[in-house]
Amino acid sequence: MLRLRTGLRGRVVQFGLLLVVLALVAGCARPAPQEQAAPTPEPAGPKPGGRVVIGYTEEPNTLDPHKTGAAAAWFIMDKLGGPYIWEDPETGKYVPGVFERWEASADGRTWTLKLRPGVKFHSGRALTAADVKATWDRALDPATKTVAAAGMLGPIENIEVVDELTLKVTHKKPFGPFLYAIAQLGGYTHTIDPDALARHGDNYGRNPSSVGPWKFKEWVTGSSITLVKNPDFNWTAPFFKNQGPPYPDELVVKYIPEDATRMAALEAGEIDIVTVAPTEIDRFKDDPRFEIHSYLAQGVNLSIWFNTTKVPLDDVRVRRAINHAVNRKAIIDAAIEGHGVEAHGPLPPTIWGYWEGVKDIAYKLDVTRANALLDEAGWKMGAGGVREKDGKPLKLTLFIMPLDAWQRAAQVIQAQLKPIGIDVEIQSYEWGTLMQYLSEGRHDMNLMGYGYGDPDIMYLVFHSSQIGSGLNWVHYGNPELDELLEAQRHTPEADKRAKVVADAQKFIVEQALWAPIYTQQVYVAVNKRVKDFRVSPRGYWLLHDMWVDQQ
Amino acid sequence: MSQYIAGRLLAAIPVLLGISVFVFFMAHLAPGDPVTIMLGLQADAEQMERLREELGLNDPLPVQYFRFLSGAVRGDLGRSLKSNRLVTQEITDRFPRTIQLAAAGMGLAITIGVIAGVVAAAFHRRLTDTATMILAILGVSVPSFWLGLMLIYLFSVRLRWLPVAGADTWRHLVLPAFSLGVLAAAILARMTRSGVLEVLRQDYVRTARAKGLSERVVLYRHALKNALIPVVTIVGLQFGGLLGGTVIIETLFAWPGLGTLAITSILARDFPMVQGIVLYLALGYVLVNLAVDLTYGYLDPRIRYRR
Amino acid sequence: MKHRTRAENMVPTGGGDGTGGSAGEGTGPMSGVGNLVGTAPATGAESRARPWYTAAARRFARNPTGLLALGCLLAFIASAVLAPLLAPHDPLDISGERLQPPSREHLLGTDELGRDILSRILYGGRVSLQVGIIAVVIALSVGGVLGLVAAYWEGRLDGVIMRVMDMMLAFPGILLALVIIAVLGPSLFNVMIAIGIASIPAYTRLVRGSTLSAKQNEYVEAARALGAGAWRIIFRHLVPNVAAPVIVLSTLGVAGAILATAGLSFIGLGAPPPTPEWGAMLATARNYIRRAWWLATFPGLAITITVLVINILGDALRDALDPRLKS
Repeated sequence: MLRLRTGLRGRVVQFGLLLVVLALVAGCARPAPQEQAAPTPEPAGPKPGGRVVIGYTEEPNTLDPHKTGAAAAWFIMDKLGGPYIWEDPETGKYVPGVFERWEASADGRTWTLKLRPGVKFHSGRALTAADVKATWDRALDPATKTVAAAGMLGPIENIEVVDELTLKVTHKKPFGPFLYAIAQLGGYTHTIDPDALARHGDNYGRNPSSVGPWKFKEWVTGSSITLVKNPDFNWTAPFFKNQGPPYPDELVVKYIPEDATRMAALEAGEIDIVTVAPTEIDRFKDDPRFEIHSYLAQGVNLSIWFNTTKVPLDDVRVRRAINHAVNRKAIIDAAIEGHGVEAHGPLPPTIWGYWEGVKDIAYKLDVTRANALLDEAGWKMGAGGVREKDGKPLKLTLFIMPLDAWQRAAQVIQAQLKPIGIDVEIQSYEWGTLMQYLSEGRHDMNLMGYGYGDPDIMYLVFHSSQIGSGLNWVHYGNPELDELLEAQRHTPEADKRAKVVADAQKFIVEQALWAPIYTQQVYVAVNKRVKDFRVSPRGYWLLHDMWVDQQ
Repeated sequence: MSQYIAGRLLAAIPVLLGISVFVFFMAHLAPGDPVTIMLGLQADAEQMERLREELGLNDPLPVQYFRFLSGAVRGDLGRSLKSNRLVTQEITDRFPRTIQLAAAGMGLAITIGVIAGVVAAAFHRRLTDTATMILAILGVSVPSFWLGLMLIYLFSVRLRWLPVAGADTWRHLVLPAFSLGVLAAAILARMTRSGVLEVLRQDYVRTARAKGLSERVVLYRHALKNALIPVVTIVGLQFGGLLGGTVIIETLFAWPGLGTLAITSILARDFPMVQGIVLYLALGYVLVNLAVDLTYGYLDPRIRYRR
Repeated sequence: MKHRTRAENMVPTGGGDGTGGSAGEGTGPMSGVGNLVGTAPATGAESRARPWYTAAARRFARNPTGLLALGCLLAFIASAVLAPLLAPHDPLDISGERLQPPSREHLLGTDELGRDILSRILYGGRVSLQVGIIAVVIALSVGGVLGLVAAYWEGRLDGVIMRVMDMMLAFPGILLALVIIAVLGPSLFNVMIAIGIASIPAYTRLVRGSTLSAKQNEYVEAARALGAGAWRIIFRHLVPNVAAPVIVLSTLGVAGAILATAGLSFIGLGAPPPTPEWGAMLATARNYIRRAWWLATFPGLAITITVLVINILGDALRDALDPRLKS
């Protein structure tokens, strides 16, 4: 049908060029001149009104705090419910929120919690201790099939309403992470308005109601969730300048799954606040339209996990060799454009309980040592540059998810292990499949990362009870380590717990259960029309002073 | 006529049934356990087992399938494992969006495709013809997500003419509909062109010309209508491809339709949701093709509908 | 008219009943490819007198566009096959500097890990063409046999096969591929299988339609009367008649499969790293589009130009194989 007598190639090339030009136009896009207009005079101060749009990757599954473990749901519920107590971004100490006072008993098992008087539900009814008890009882009731909240609250034996504003919570054993559960994790444990729950039943997750600074307005499936300010809100944390209700009228969270699109939406002014990937951040840093906030993530965002039950990774020498062979700096450069710090232990410096001694026993980049360890373990260099033992080549699988940064890291690791005679095969699976395969132990190695605010993460990853159904994908069970991990859970005194936590880190590093790679620097870009947005050093978004400059 | 429609709908039942069996068993064959995915971090084995039992995931597959089927017959597709919402409700929220996108994409495709095809045929073997056909062949050669990204950067970021993402106004529809429709437009342009060219060679067109009718009248009155018959077929067939294409386009443009839901549901092993989505999409496909077949009767009275 | 219950049979088709002339259009896995309507198999009489391909080849040889496209494609194939000789660098070597713009050392620049893009595109040609061809081979061998069987033995078997095809058609191709990859896991081979399976119905319908019309030729009757076996008739007399439209559809199918692989990579279910596959390269590059235009542009052009050339070739083949359209 297509009949070109002459010049076909010329035309094809022309159209090819058109596409290049399109790419170039897009590639060279810089803020248009009008955006760089003369700086506006410094505005007088916070003004109420306007709306702030936050860009987010994925939609929550539900806003029923007991039916979800999704970070996306937490993000909304945190605004709806407000934490019971706040962490001061400067001092790291807890300060009053819904709870005015909180005290542990001498044996560390019982918490007495005192509610601030005058806190009201969005419906206008006053909040009482009985409402908090009702919510937590619901979370703990097996019939609720609670996803995350019950585990966060810990092994609760009994919740008692002492009076209208006083609550007593008794654990079966002292439970260290309890305050974390009602502070940073307050989104999952916040008080549900019992009337709203009764009214909406199974649909409560789409019609949530609580006591926080923001009220639920609308959820457009697949698109956005809109919150409106709670005009009666007056019990925010003392460290905010604004002690009244939030300034903006509306807070919209818009869901955009594709990274490139989300970044385009930021540039086009469709969203005001969004987390920016390390690959994109340099561009936004130089852009006068945006203000960049940054913090070091709470967690080791990338490490190689070894399946310690399988030959050859059951041999600690091989695990150590790999630890010596990976060039963390090069991986950080390639995977996250250098926006991170090297990790050498299971905890990053940003988590309470991080042990400084990790640095001294860390595995430094040392290819000679790596080779020596492998030789010692009986893996001799064979033909084709792959080591062998008993006629078997040193071939290891590396399971990953198709995340961009992980894919880049995996390829670099593959290239870095090649010179020491390890042939790495990358296998990529989506989350569901990957979890099952890792639980079954089909892998030799896998890439994994976590974000968590408490050293208890080590229990979840390394305790023998977590093999098979939990996160113990290193399939490591050791009584000595188990004991340390249990002890830290039930040691309420901070200095004693810190010691146990340090011992656990030492053990894990010495056994080289992981090859930790990096902790990432996280960047949040904010359109400058939104003022006074802050992020705490632990990455908590402080929105209460935020206001919109509407000119 | 109504008998014909009823017959066609009846014939669709085994198709839908077959699809549901296939999806059901494929989904359950896939490694990955919805409960693990749902509970994630904090769950202990006992809790997971309880939930699994509760959701009926421990029953033999045929039992699970018939439970699904008996519900489906009553219009109950169950609840999403992930959100615990009724599958029908989640789909009712989103399906209109996908239809809207697919219809807009097809509308654009038909408009652009047919006009381009007729123009190309009218200027047969001239520069316009060649240029149109090169564009058309280019249209089927570009990966849609790449085209979409380029359009976003050009029209949303650089020129600020159209919004990037979301589905609030008709303006949000333009870029995704275009990215989605380009392929179909290209195919339709080629189809229309060859259809018109072919018809122009037919005897009755020669007769019309011989009668002294103007070239324009010949083209529009005689050639176009007949040339459109295969075009209509393509519309029907392409609509299926278009519904599938929404998976990528919806993800790219954050369009809240079934396509994005389909991916997340498959990845989360949300079996009831996957079932529901596939059934709705298949039903949509069947209905569109029925509509296409009925259109033939309008375009060509020689066709009669009978069972 | 006979009973008509299915979409394809509603199309008035000038010649034999249910030629299925429209089968190829838009039934590719995720994208319709090319234009097949109006394709009629060479008539049986012609195929007896002299092979259908002689005339077709002669016609093809008179079409400069087609020849050019064929030349381009052969050049692509040659460069893919000879990639180890032509590539200036190891496509997996990450020792280079990252994100370097095109230079004398790296003609098309380096990628996000410092690999030479030109080398990756050359090696990627092997992968992409291989994906396209194997996917088509899978679709064609399964779909073609089913189509022949359905058409030859008509009746109940035909009904069952075509119902199954209806199901597959009503199941959006990319979702089918997604489910298949979710079951089998993402690997290059599974991607080929998924795309191949998703394209089966197009081939079945096309082959069935063409076979049905070819069956009505007198010489088939004659062969049957002479006691020729079913498979002999199928391979001797029917397959040659079906070959022409199948060649065209297959050509376009290769193009469609390359695009489909790119789409799967976009969702993260394409070829796993570090495979230098064009679609995966393009999908990876989308986060660098603004910083390093060469990352997306060259794999994108590689896909577009290859698909373009294959589509043009498909068109030219159709023109050559179907003299009716020649004006």
